[in-house]
Amino acid sequence: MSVLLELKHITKNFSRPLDLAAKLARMAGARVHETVVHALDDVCLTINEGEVVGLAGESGCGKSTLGRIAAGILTPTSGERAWRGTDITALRPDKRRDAALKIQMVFQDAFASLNPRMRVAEIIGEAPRVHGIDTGDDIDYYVDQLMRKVGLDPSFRRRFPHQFSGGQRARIGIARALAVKPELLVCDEAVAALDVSIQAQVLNLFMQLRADFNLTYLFISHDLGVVEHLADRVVIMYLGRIVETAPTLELFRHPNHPYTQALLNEVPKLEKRGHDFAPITGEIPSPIDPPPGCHFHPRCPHAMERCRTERPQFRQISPGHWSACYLNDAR
Amino acid sequence: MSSAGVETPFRRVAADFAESRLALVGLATLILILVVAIGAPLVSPQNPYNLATLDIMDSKLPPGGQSLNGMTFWLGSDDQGRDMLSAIFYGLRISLGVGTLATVCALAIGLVVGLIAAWFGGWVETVIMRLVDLQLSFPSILIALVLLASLGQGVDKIIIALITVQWAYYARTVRGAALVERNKEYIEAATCLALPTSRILFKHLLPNVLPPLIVIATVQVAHAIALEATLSFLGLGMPITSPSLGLLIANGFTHLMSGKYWISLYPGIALLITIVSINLVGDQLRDVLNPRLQK
Amino acid sequence: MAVLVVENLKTHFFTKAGVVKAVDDVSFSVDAGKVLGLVGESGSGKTVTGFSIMGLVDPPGRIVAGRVLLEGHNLLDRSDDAMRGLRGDRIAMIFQDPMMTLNPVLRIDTQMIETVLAHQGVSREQARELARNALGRVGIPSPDERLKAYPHQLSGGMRQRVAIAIALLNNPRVIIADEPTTALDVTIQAQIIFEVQKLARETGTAMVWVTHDLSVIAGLADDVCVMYAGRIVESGPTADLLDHPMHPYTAGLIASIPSRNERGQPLHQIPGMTPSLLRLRPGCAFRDRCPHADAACEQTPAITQPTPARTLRCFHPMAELEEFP
Repeated sequence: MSVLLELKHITKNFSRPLDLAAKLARMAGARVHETVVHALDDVCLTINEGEVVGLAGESGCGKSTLGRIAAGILTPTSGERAWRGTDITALRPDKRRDAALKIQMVFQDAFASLNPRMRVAEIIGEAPRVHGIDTGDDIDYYVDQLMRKVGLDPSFRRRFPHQFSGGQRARIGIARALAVKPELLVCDEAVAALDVSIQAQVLNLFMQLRADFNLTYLFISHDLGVVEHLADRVVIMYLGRIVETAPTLELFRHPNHPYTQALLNEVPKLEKRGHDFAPITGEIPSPIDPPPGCHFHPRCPHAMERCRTERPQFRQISPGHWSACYLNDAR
Repeated sequence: MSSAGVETPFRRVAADFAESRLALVGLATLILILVVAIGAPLVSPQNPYNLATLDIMDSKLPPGGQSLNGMTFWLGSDDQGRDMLSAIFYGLRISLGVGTLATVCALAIGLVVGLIAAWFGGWVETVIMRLVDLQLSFPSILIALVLLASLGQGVDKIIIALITVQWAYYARTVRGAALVERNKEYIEAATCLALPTSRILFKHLLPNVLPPLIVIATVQVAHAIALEATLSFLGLGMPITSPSLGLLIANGFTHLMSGKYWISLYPGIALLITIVSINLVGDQLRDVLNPRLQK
Repeated sequence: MAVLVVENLKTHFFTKAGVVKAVDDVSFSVDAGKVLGLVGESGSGKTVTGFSIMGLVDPPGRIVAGRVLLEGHNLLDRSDDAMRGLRGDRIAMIFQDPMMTLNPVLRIDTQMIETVLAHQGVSREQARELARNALGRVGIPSPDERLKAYPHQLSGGMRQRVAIAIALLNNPRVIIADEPTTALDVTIQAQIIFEVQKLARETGTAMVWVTHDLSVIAGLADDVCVMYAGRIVESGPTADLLDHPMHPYTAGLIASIPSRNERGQPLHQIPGMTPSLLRLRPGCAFRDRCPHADAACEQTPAITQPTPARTLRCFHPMAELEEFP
């Protein structure tokens, strides 16, 4: 299996620089400092060809930011992004653009991700036309075929986004991504905003497209049920760091990191009738001021002295199963 | 499901606009004014600037008075014997023409400048916005007077002055709107699709930043017309050979005291009606377009 | 015993484009200390039902028929002033966005004390004490500090907890919760659901929990009503309904949950989309998507009671052990 995308030691900070007034205040002695949001902290992720990687976590974990960095929408503060082994920033502009087109994104809010003033056929057909992608003789036919492929009636090609339902808009977004012949699709909570019955349709579409176009997915979702169904491998993030990764079945059967365990325990399941345990306490800390050492230690029932000061390293505990927790050292 | 037929954003806006009767009245009046202004040579009983048709004996006749060759001066005549009604039609033409042209040019300049400021940020944005602040901190009439004093008189100089006074307002509004739109997912999607920056700016960002501008522009046309009228009234505006409504008012000013009110009053009323109808249309447009933007 | 009884409620919206029957003949009841789940997707009418009970429906919407009985008294007969007196006191609501409850420019203690003083004749100090206790009851640590905070200084989960505390302040008989945890993270959601269940039992408050998430209902509600296109299509005790769904829509919803499907296989899906409420034809609203539909479904099914605890609106219910295709 060849490696498609490698994200190496990605760190991403969002900071608003101080304006002139604040700088003057600081010179005068006021304790003003920049607020820095530590969205990602030394994250490494490898995506192999053909696999579906599920990226899960709660708010503030950085999964959306990581997805946008993977898709090239955001640039990391530090770290490297390599496509098929080559650092993307080292490529010539035209090769860089080719690589950029190979990684496409499907957004959570389909309505916001479609230009409200463009017709559907334009939305889908714009990028292939601009980049001169081979669409056969007739680009209109190409667009119609794509629409059919994602379950849209091509006769709607001249309509505007607001004239479609939520599920249809999601499909338009997918068709647009497919139009540039990508190899990797980053799906950022692509089904979260959809009704349950439409979710199933769109998820089935994703699976169908994977088979038809030989696609690789980075599937970002907070819904672990969806991740369990779709993903070959799962990555769990917490407050800007990856805490655990494993093949899906392994992760759901033998979760190692205390956060993963808590998360899996607390997901509402249809079979679980009534809560019979006390869920994990505490709030998710803010990424502006993350706790030192292991980010999870304030909420962890097994926290040790070491957890408060040193960041645990990512260690392999069984083939393909990695976790960042000091509890593993004892084993 | 999808609505029947292709419902363009324009049709939606038009339907919502039509809900206010007052705005429709304003729109109808405006259309009437435009027709009259554009077709002035055809509609006017007399061409007031063809000296051959004027007779000084016809001067200062009250409304309803008869000229020597049998033509009725519906709104009276001025001190040169010109038919006021015709003079107003021609004057509307000039006022509207100058006002609209200046507004459109200022809009175009402000649009480009604002988009660039919002997209590139950093020192580019800082420089542009400080320039805008500087421009906006002076009263528009002052800037116009200074410009006209240094450039001299003439239609083109007036238009330049009007443009200079207006562009900053558009630039600031565009920058604000563009900053908001820039963070939306459809711009992220365009970035992801590796579309060239110019395309993103003009094909994606621009059309979505335009609605608030259209509203401002409609009202600004009224503002420009009023400003030009003021300048003309002060004697710095349009030359006597192509008088705008402002100049007409100025001309008639001296006759107000002697009771020949119609020479000033009717051009004044025409100006008032024009500005009010533009404002009515602009107000309704603003109300109609706003909720859409919040969607 | 039944604290809240809704009978044949109809709320219609009279829009330019036509009449939208958002709530079309809805009936249910909730006992003290019990949680009723109101489940449906977007457009099902579940939110409008909650708003109708609270009397918060704005024009062009209007309640056109039915009764809402709070401890035996019909709320729909009450005047606006009388309803204002009841809201926050006998009946309270929690919204999906806590900022619909919280005023961003007032401190938490100010808002909570105001709520108490509006309905109870106690002193400020007593009101503050009640506020402290309420915060403690919803599991907020160091309530004194929280009282002095402004809403923007709290996280989303905290804000929602404060909103719940405010709802509880005057010991209402009924709380309507409209998707209160949908926007929250899993771990926070789990905490809040745990607290809420405990509270309902302790205080004897009846709860109506509106949501689209069947799994949340499974862990929380005693009884469930499933809504589709403005009508209740099925209702009954949670465990019974989830284990033995009778209406094809319920069966379809359950079948399309990923965890009910085999990994790697296509998910069971309900074909088609929710019908537009503007162009709803007479008869069963689900028939365009239903595997059992036939000519009989062109009549609107009446409510039947296949077992004493279950109600159902369907001519062709699922057979025992039948799976949604």
